[in-house]
Amino acid sequence: MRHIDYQKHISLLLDGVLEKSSREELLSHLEECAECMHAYEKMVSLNETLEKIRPLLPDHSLAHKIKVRIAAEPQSTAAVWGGFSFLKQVPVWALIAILAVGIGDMAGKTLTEVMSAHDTSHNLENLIQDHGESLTDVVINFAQSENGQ
Amino acid sequence: MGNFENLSDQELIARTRNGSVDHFDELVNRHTIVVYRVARSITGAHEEAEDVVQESFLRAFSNLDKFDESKSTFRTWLLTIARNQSINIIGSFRRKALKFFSDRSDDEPEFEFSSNPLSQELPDAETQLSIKQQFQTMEKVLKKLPERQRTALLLRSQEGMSYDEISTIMNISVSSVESLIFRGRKKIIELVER
Ligand SMILES: [Zn+2]
Repeated sequence: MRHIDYQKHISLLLDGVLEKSSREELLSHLEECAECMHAYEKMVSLNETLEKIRPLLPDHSLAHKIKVRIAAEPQSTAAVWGGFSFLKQVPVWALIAILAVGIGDMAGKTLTEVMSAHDTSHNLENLIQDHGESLTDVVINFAQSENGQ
Repeated sequence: MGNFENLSDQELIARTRNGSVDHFDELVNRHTIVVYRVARSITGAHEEAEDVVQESFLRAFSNLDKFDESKSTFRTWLLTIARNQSINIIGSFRRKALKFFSDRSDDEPEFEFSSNPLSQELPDAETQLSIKQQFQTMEKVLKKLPERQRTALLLRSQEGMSYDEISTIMNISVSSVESLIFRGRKKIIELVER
């Protein structure tokens, strides 16, 4: 093995992942090789310094900011469609037909507009993602993802 | 707001999937610091790191159905998202343009020195000065490492992560992790000796 290979083993040794046989080979090499011994001492001291320095902490307000944004976020897609799992039993064409009949003048409006105009339950409002897409977009996306399965 | 400290990440995720946002808040409490540190280490800038942390949690939340607990822990998955977000930021055209006009982020301190809490005696002024210099050199040198070497090394030595976990977060093989960490160490030693 070359010196550089032994030095790579030093790095593994410091992280506790060097195999036993390689470890013994390395230790006997270190006894007779000044170059690798020097590398060993340097790496040990580097490790000690890295342990002494700590990355700075985020501002205290960060976790709070995240929670505020999460609270304003619609639920994850799994939770959304999980709640409507009965719809998966309905053929996609039938679903589109049912919704198309009901959509009427809603086409082009965002989900929130549609929901608030028709005073649907608040649960629905929280469950369905509103990315400014129209209800038709959502239905089409859903139909496509269903077809892909 | 409930007390969820006794619940595992996995239980918190299950409850979040059933619609309880409060349970996700506990995941935020648990992992904000580590995500920030990783983002900070890659972007090198406080504000960008905070943006990355927020975006990462939002993504994790809205993609929770895609998280596969049989493949990794939540922390690993979250850090994978955070690393990708951080890399997007440092690679963005906007960022490069801003960096061209100001080098401010290179001057931001990233680490603090923590003395050994076990040692009772205070170091004398001379030792303190030498520690401070050592610290400043290390900070400068770390900034010169290529992102991959630096991330792998810091995940190992600062966060105490296993090679396996690092390989998942960085989407590379374990032997690549070994190489990156070794090359990172070697490079730091060369730079310090120079
Ligand atoms: Zn040697």
